[in-house]
Amino acid sequence: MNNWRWPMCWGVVLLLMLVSLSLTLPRTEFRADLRQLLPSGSVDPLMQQVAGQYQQQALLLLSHSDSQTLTRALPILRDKIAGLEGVSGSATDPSKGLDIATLVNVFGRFPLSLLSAEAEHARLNDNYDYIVERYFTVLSQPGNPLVGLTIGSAPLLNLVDWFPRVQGKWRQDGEYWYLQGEQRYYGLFLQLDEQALNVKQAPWLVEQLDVLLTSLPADTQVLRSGMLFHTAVASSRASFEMQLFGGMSLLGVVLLTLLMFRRIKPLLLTTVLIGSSLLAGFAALLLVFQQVQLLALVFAVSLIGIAVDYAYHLLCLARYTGERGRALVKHLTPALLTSAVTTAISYLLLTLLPIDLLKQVGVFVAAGLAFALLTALLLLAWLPLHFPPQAAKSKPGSALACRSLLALMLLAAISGAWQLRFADDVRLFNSSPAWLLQNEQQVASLSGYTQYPRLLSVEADNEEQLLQRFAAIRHAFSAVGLDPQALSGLDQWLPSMAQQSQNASWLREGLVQGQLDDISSYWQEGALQQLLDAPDAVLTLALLPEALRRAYPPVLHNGHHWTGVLRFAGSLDKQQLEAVNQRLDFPLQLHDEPALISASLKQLRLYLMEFLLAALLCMGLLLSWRYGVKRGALMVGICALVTGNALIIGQWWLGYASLFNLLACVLIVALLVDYLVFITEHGDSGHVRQALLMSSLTSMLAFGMMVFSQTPAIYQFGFTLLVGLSLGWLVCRLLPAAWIRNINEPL
Amino acid sequence: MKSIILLMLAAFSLNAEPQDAPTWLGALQQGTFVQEKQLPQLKRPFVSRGLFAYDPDRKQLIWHTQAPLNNKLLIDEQGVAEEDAQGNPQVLTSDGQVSQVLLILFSGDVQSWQEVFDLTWQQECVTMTPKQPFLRDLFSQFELCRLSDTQQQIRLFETNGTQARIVLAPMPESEPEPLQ
Repeated sequence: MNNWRWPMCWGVVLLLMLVSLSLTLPRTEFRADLRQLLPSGSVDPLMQQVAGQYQQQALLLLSHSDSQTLTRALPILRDKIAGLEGVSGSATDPSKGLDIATLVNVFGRFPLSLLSAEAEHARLNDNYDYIVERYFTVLSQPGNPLVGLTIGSAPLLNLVDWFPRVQGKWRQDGEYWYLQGEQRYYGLFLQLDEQALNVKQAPWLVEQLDVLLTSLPADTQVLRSGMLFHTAVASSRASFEMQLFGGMSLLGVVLLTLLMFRRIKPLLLTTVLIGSSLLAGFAALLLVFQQVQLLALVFAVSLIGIAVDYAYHLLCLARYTGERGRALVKHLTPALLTSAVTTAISYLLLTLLPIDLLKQVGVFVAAGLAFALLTALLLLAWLPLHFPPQAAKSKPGSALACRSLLALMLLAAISGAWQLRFADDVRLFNSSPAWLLQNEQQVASLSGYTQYPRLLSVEADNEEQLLQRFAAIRHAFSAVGLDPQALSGLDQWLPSMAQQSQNASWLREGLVQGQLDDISSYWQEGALQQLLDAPDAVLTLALLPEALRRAYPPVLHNGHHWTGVLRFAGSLDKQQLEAVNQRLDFPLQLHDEPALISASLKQLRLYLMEFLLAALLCMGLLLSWRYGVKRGALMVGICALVTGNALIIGQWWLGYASLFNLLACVLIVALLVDYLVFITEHGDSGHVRQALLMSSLTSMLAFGMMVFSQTPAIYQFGFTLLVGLSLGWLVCRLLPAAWIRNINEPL
Repeated sequence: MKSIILLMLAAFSLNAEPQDAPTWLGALQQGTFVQEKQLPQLKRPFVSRGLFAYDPDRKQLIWHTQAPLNNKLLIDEQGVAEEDAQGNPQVLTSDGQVSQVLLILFSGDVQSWQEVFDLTWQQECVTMTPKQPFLRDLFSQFELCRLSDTQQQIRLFETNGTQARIVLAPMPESEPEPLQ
C-alpha cells in the first residue's frame, strides 16, 4: 500500500488538471496570426482595431471571357456565400448599402457649402464662369440622373460634381462592380465574423467557399485576397505538419524505446510521462491565457524532447542498477531536480518578455517539465519494473578528440560570430503558397489596396482641427508627388467648417452680385430668394449617414482628443512619409503592419539574445553553486559553444540567422544542460551514456522532422536543433572520464 | 373572365412584337442633336444642340455640345469623360450604368434592348421599360420614335420627373468633318 501512496497523489493531481482543462478549453480561442508576435502595448489599440476590421474582410475577384454569363451567376453565389457560417455579409457592391437617394437627402441640406476640388479652385480665383459652365455641361449631358436628383435641393448643380469618386478604381456594371484589367474582374466583398479567422473555422470556411465557387461557369478565373485565405492555408498546413511530425517522431520514439528496452512496459511508461506532461503544459497554458497562439504550441511541443529524457534516465538507472521505489528516487532526484529546475527557470524567464507568444511557450514548457518531474518521481519510480540485472557497457571519452572538437568549435564560433547576419523581415517567414501571394499581388495591382492596409493616423483637439489636418495631409501628399485621391477617408465627404463657410459665402455673393444670373434665369420664381434666405448650416461628422461612416476608416473622439484615420492605396516608403511629415506642422503616423511585425521580430530577437545570455548566466550560477565554479563554467561554456556553432552552421546553410534559430538555441541549451547534469551527477556510467544516446536520438528525430516543414519558421527551428543536438551529443560522448567524474571529487 | 383578359393581353403582346426590327432602327450613327430637358425645378426647358457620333465597334458615343456652350463628352461603358482644352479625356464619372444604357439605346440592336428592357412596339415608336431594379429606380422608361425618313427622337423619362427629348438628324453638309 505504501508503494501506491505517491502514484495515487500523482493521480489526484492529474485529475485536477483534467477538471481544469474541461473548464478552460471551451473559452479558449486558438489563433494563427502573426500579430501575436507584437509586444503588448507596442501598437496603438485604435490602429490595431482598425487594421483588425480590414482583416475581417475578404475579396473575391471573378473574371470570365463572357461577362454576362458571369454576372448571371454572381447573385446566386453572393446569396449562397451570405448563408455560410462565419460570413456576416456578402455583397457585389463595395459601397456597402450606400444609396444615392440617402446621400442626396443628407448633403442636399447644405446646398452652398460643398464644392468639388475644381470648383474650389475656381473659388480661389473668384471664377464664377466655371460654375456657370459646369451647370450647362451637366445639363447638356444626356441622361445624368444626378441632375434631377439634386437640382431640387442644390439648384446650382454643384452637388453633381461634388459627390466624390469614392469607389477608387471600381467601376459599375449595373448592380455589379468590377476592376478593369485585361478583362473585367467582378468583386464579391465578404465581411467575416471575428471567429471566422480562427484556426478551426478558417479552413472550413475556405473549403465551403471553394465548393460554392465550383458552381461558377467553367473557365472562371478567381482571385482571392484577405487574411482568411492565408489563415486557412497556414492553419491547414500547421495542423498537417503537427500531425505528420508528431506522428512520425512518436513512431520513432516508440521504435527506439522498444529497441532499447525490448519490453512494452517502458514504452507505456514513457508515453504516460510525455502525455501527462503535455497535458499539464496545456492545462497551465489555458489557465493563464484565453487566446492561444498556434505557433506557441508548435514550439512548446519541444517539451516532449526534454520530458522524454527524464523517463530514459529513470528507466536506464532502474535497468542497470536494479533500484526501485525509494532507492531509485533517492538516486535520481538530485540529477533530475537540478536538470528540471535549471531548465524550467530558464523557460520561465521567457514570461518576463513582453511577447505573448514567448510567454505561452515559457508557461507551457515550465509547467510540463514540473509535471514530468512529478511523474518520474511519484509514478514511474514506484511502479514494478521487471528488468533482468544487466551491466551497461561504456566506452570512455577521448580527451584529445574532445579537446580538438571544442577547439574547432571555438575557432568556428570566433570566425563565424563576425559574419552572423540576422534577418527580421516578416516576409522571410511568410508561409503562404506562391499562388496565393500571386493572387494578392494581382488584386493589389488592380485595386491599389494591399492585403495589409496602410493606415495613417492623425490627432487633433477638435473636429475642425482634424478636418483641416486631413486637408493639409492631402496637400502634402500632392506636393511630394503622391496621389491624394489614393487616400480614403471620411474627409472626402466632409470639408472643414471653415471651407464650407467660405464656399457658401462665395456662392451667395455670386448670386447677389448677379454673376450667376445665367443659371438663376432658369429657376422658378422665388427659388433664388429661398436659397439666399436659407440659414447657414454646417455639415458635421455627426450628420453623415451611418452607412457612410462604416464604409470608411473611422474618426474617433474621446473628450478633447480626436483621432482620424486614412487608408492609403499604394506603396508608401519611409522617405516619402518623412517628406510628407516635413510639410506638416503636426505628426502623421503610419501604421504599416508588415513593417511593424518585422520591427517586433527584431525586438523579439534582441530580447531572446538577452534571454539566452541571462539563461546561461542563471544556469552558470545554479550549476556553480551545485558543482563548483570550474565545473559550472565548463558546462555553461560547452552549452555556449554548441549553440553558437548551431547558429553559425544555420547561417551558412540558410544564408541568414533568424529569431527561430535563436529559439532553437534555447532548447539546445535546455537539453544539453540536462545531459551534462546527468553525466556530472552519475559519472561516466553506462546507463547515463545509454540514456543520453536515447535522449539525443529521440530529440534529433523529433526535431529533425521539422526540416521537412513548408513553414520557414519551423524549418529554421528544426534545422538548428538538428545541428545543435548532434554537436551536443558528440561533445558529451567524447567528454573524457577525467573531466566528468563524481561531483565529490575536485575537477 | 380573368383568363379571357389574360389571353387577350397575351395575344396583343404577341402581335405587338414584330418578327423583324424596323429598318429605320440604327440608321443614324452620327449626326446632329437637339436636346430639350424639362425639369420641374426650371421654369423653361433647357435646350442644347450639337453633334453626336456612335462608334459600334468601340462602343463609344461622342456627344459634342456646341450651344449654349462648347464641350465634348466621351461616353463609353466605363463612364463619362470630358475632353479638355488639350484634347485629353478627363473622367467625369466612372459610374457606367447610365452610360451603358445610352450605348445600348444608340446601338439600335433589338437583341441588346430585349436583354435590358421590356419592349412595347407601336407603329413608329418603341417604348422601353427597364427590367433591372437599379435602372427602374432611375428611369421609368425610354422611347425611340421615327419622326421622318431622316429624323429620330429619343425620350428619357427619369423617375424624379425629369424628361429629356433628343432629336437626332443626319449630319448637314456644312459639317463635313466626322466626329473623332
